[in-house]
Amino acid sequence: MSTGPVQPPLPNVFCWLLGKCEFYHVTQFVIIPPGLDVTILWAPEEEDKVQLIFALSFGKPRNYATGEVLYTDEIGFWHRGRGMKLHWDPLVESITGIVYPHITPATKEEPFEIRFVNRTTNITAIMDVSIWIFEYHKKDYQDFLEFARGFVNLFRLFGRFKTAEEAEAFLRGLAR
Amino acid sequence: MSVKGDKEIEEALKQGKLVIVMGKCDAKIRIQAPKDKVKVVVRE
Repeated sequence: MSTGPVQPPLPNVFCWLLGKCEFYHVTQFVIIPPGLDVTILWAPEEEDKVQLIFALSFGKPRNYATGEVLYTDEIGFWHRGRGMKLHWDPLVESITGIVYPHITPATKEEPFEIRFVNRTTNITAIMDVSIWIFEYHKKDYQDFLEFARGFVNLFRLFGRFKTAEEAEAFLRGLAR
Repeated sequence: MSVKGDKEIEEALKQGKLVIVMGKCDAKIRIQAPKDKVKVVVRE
């Protein structure tokens, strides 16, 4: 079971301050029968939307038949999206026990890809997953990217100063 | 959301399908998947 806070990154400030995106999470039960191997694509239904998936959180995976907690590397999912390489997430504590960070935008043209696999012959797994999302209109998402680039550029600028005194002198110059 | 014992879910599992059960919400999400392998169930 994921523990610890879901920490919304920079987009939260953008949403809250400027009202240009909306926050929500989708909570679902996923039930994975034995022998399964299937790929699904996740995207916003509307063409003009971007869903920025910024975290996943998990309940304890369980054996569907018995209700017992189930940790196994025989069941899990592959996934990938923009900025994320394809990789395997088995139902083990080091994955399902954390709030799993993402910065993965999904659009209708570029969906988030999840491939569920169950290599067992007789175990059905069930787990609950929450997917944490900021949703933008596409034009507002471009505004957000500009906003984020501004932060990057600001910190790049600070990276150019060799000493704290140089940075301070620069800032004092701005304040004059 | 009640999952265990739900006829629609049990039937899909018998057919070896992945079942995704989600609550109804305002967000419009598209899950694209082969129908013979995946059942998406939306609950009020």
